[in-house]
Amino acid sequence: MTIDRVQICRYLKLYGRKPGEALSARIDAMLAEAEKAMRPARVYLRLDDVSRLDMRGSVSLAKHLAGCRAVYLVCTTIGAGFDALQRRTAAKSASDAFVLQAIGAAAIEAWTDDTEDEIRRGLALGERLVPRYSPGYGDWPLEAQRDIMSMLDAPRTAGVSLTGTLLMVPSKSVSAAIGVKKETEEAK
Amino acid sequence: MTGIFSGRMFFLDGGMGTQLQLKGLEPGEIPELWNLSRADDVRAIHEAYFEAGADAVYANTFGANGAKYHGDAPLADVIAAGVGIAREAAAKAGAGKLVALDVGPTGRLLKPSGDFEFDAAYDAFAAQIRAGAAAGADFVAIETMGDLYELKAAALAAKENSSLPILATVAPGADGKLLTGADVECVAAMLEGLRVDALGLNCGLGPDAMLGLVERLAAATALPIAAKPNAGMPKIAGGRTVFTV
Repeated sequence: MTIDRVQICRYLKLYGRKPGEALSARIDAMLAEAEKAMRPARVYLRLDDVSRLDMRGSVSLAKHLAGCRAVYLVCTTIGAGFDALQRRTAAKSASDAFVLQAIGAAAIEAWTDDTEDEIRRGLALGERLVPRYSPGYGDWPLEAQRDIMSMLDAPRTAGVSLTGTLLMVPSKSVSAAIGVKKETEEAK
Repeated sequence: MTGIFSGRMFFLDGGMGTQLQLKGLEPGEIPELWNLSRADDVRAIHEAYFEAGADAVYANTFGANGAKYHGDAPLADVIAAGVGIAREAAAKAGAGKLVALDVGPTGRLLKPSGDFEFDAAYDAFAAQIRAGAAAGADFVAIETMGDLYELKAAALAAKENSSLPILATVAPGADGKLLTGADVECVAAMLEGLRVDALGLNCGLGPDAMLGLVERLAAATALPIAAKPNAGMPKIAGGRTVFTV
């Protein structure tokens, strides 16, 4: 996984401007810390029967997955060590903590993209992925997190668990459903 | 060093979850409910491990704690049935065969990393351990722990809610550390302090990667050591957990 500096700057809300020398130095320093603390993990599962995924009445998800022949459930994380680093950093420097959280956001995004690439490489000939879709998007309720975490056995397989309010721990984690379409189905 | 684990080689069983999957357990299904609905299948798994030479089997109670379990059947019934099934298999296998109450993680991360209270974890483990002891387990097997603090809650709960021997094992990652960062020396120091009867490693790693960590544990503790490696790292393929050793 390579963390894209452009993405870090995007999460730092630089709106296309280049970071100045001081900020650049902080990004480098925090990136070095983050790389030591991160421990990326992932787990995914292919359901060849899309109805095995309880959509919990979500119209937007049903529409998103319409015509899909299978669906992957995915959970990725950069690990609990990053959260510990984030807490330590926040106690010392608010600005470093801000930089660090941007790095974490860029890192989990890169790691999830990497995971999607791995899934894509394992697809059968003629299959393609539709964009990933996460609980909380549209009208797919956050409660769906419970289903995904339980089907993936995520606490054990990826070290990701849920809080009582359905947020993921470690905080830089992603859960998603990724539909699989047959190329020919797209042409219809 | 006293107790059931000392002075001899002691063979534990293999994994339960993967065997249940082979018999049709679906992703997301609660494995412990099979203690009530498919007792014969669970018993057959225990019997196969005893036939293969196991001295002890872990009852199908890994996730039977109040924080994780969300089935319809009362948790105490699920635990009692699980230990009972393993007891039947042990009785059939002959004298001296043992049954462990399997105690896995809550699936919640404790504060400060997560939002779960230490006391809530302790209470969940305590209820499970009391039920397991009442059902006739020979020892408590705390396993697959990835957080030192949660491990402490489980070990304390076992100490304070039963008089059973305790075997506690953790599941380190590829870097040899627990999920929340502790290394095996920390695990040994804490578990010795809590006076468990044996400690070690399970899950997470294959035999090759685990050996080095076992050696480090051996240098860090005088207690008997358990090693229960995976057959490689688990992957989920086609809805099944598969191993590549």
